Amino acid sequence: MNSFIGKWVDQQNVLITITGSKTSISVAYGNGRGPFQGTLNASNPSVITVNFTDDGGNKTGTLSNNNSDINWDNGTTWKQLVYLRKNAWDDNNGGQFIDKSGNYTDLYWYAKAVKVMQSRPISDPTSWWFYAAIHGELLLPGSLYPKPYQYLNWKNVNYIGAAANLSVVPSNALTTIFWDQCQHGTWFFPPWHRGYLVALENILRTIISQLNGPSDWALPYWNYLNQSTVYIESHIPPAFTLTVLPDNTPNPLYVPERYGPNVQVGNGENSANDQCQWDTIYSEGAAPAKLGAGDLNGYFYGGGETGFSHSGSETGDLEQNPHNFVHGMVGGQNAAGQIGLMGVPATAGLDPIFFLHHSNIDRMWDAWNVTGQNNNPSDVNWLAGPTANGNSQFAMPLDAQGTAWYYTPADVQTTNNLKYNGSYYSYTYSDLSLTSYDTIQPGFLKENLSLRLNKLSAINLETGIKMASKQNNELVGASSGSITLKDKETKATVQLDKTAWKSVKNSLLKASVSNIPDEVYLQLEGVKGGADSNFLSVYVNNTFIKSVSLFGLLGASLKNTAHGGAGLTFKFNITSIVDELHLESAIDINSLDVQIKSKDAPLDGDEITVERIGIYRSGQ
Amino acid sequence: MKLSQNKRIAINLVFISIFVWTLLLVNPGHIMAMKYCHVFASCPSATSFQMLLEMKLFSAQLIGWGLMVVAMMLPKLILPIQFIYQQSFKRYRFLCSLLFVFGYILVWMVVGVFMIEIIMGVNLLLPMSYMPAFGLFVIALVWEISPIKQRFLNLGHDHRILSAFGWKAFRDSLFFGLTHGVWCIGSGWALMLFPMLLPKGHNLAMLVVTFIMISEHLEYPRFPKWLFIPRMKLLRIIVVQTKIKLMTF
Repeated sequence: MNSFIGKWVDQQNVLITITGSKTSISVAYGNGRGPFQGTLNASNPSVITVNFTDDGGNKTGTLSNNNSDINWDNGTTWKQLVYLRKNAWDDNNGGQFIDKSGNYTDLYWYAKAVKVMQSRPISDPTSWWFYAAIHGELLLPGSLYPKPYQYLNWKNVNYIGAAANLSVVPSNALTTIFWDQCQHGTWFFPPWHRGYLVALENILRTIISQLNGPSDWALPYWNYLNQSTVYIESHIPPAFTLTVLPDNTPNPLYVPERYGPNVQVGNGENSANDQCQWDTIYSEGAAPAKLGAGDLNGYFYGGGETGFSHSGSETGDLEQNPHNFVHGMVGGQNAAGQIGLMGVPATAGLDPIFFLHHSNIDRMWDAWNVTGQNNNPSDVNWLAGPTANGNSQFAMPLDAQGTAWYYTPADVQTTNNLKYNGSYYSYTYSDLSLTSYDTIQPGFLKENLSLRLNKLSAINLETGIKMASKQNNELVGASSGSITLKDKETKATVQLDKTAWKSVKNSLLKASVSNIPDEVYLQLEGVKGGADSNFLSVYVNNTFIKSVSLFGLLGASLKNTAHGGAGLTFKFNITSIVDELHLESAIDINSLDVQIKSKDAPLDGDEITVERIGIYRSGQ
Repeated sequence: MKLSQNKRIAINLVFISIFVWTLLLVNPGHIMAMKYCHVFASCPSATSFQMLLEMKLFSAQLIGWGLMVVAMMLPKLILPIQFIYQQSFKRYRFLCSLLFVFGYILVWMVVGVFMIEIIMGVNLLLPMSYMPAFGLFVIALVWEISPIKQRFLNLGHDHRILSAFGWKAFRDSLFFGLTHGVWCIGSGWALMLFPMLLPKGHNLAMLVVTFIMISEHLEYPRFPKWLFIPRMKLLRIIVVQTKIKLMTF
């Protein structure tokens, strides 16, 4: 890899672009100077010699250890350009196209570039439609949804203009490499989406440069959780609701099939928040496993380890809330009960707000690493990506010919010196606060193991207890038969198995530093239906546990898709409730009452079914 | 290092499979009364079908068939058995898995009766001929690229949620095994029959077929249509994991 290739800024803040191969480079200045030719030192690839023909000939540059600077022998230094992704509300004059000085904002240039991409046919890998299909599509014969969801099939989506020319799909070779890649319910969710944004951002920036926009443009982010006193940032930025641009031409950021423009923020039922940011573990088995409050969904921050078999249900805390929640809320439902584009994975990428939402999710992951000082997995099966288990590579098209950038999670695990298409690429965010809403760790999340042991009257507490990297999971109770949610509220009784429950009971009774008590999880297993934008809230013995978004439910319920029709499984950590019931000696082994509430009443003929409710212990 | 439950299941099943493969291929100390594939390939043409049956070859064939199913198919059952272990009470796990395997093999044995009759019949009519194997190879090839095959492969991923308590848990496990067996036969009947019709080289063919069948069951479900795609996921996994191990050490 030639580490010099990329964008640099000199001491006069002039943008410099270095292109080239493994052995030679070309240097071009943004002010028109150059290009100048140079070569890499054969024995030391961190040194280049460039012939500045207008400035005395050859000069030698040396790359700094962290690839952030080139130090020249005449004493000058070039710094690697670090793109800055800015807040769509705060840094764009309240989500507008024009700032207070009368200049165009990043959102304006986004809209202009989206328009150019949308003018290209779907057969062009740099078109908006092709890029949306990389996430998921309902266009190829094998993808189409049956009745009554045919309105989601792309040929029926009004937002897709005639320029897309959907009747001419790209070649099978291109669709096989690029389409339907989105990684959900897996520990690859954060890195795949990071690469997806970087690839799109570069295509957009090239277009913006051609339109004489800022050459350092970067994708804005919509931080719906931001508690600004100036703007209500849980609302979608105005640039996405206006029907026209400042020049009175149609606004491509406006999507008629977007039915819920506001995000409901909070810590109660069906509310988006950033409690996930208090997690301290990316995935089970990820080292170091320092104890934390997190693991809201049972798959920690980044999602469950994905091997060669993948159920698509190991959804990490970041992915579930806020990611899935915001998809469901922004997609929403219209009066006819139809789901908006953002509410379904196979149509979500069509809506331009998708990329600002994911920019925010990426920002949260970056903040979790940088500010929260939490580590990504060091497991080679994560670093190498899905190919480690025989699955497809992450691939993004770079140009109209479909030249692919293949990447792994290792390539994109930081936003600094990310490996993009043979060069380093760096960006950062205007705000890397760990949290925006749950700025103080919610009380119920504060309960770390020491506090829990105290509560359970364990003695001889020590500090620095580490969680076992691998836990034993065991079924300890279940409902009998499947449950159908026809109304907004459904009650079910879960029976605990006397023999299996003994392990949990004993672990609670004998809780100590060397006998860490079990964690207990409730699982809604085999959830099927078609209500992607709906939400379920689970209560145990009348205590609210957590809400989950049903984003992706329809696709997961269809047979002959990658999910195999298995539906989704949702996991809820109910340890604290079990602790309380145990201390009050109130556990009724024959009936643990579970109440499931859906945000919207399921439509007739579109009931949600839960094949089984399972209770699991997780412990040593 | 303590192995995870999933790894223990995988190792145990692979170990049993290798053991049965050894029995079939090496037949150490001639512990098996006859070579499992003796009649499959080399019946003297003068011997009548009735005589073969009287010679009790049929039951020996069926035992051989059963062992072959165990050897070839057990690694394919790793994922469903892991699934049963995950969602069953600890004390039910082994019995539920056993019932699943029993149901699965039962279906293959029933089909085996017909398969053996076909094999014996073909060998009587065309002894030591490659023609039947060639004919089946063409059929297998068409079956491989057909949407029906893909439909069966997809159904093989249909892992039902099982009842947790009492006899219903056992019933569901048995039924899971039976249905899984039917989907497996639906996708792999031609591949399974092919090595048995070869006059020579059936051991090698069986190994190759096992590899293909495990590979194609590891692939994610996809939309059923006429499509030629090499389903070589197992090979990809082995190659990449070897690379990773070499890089690590």
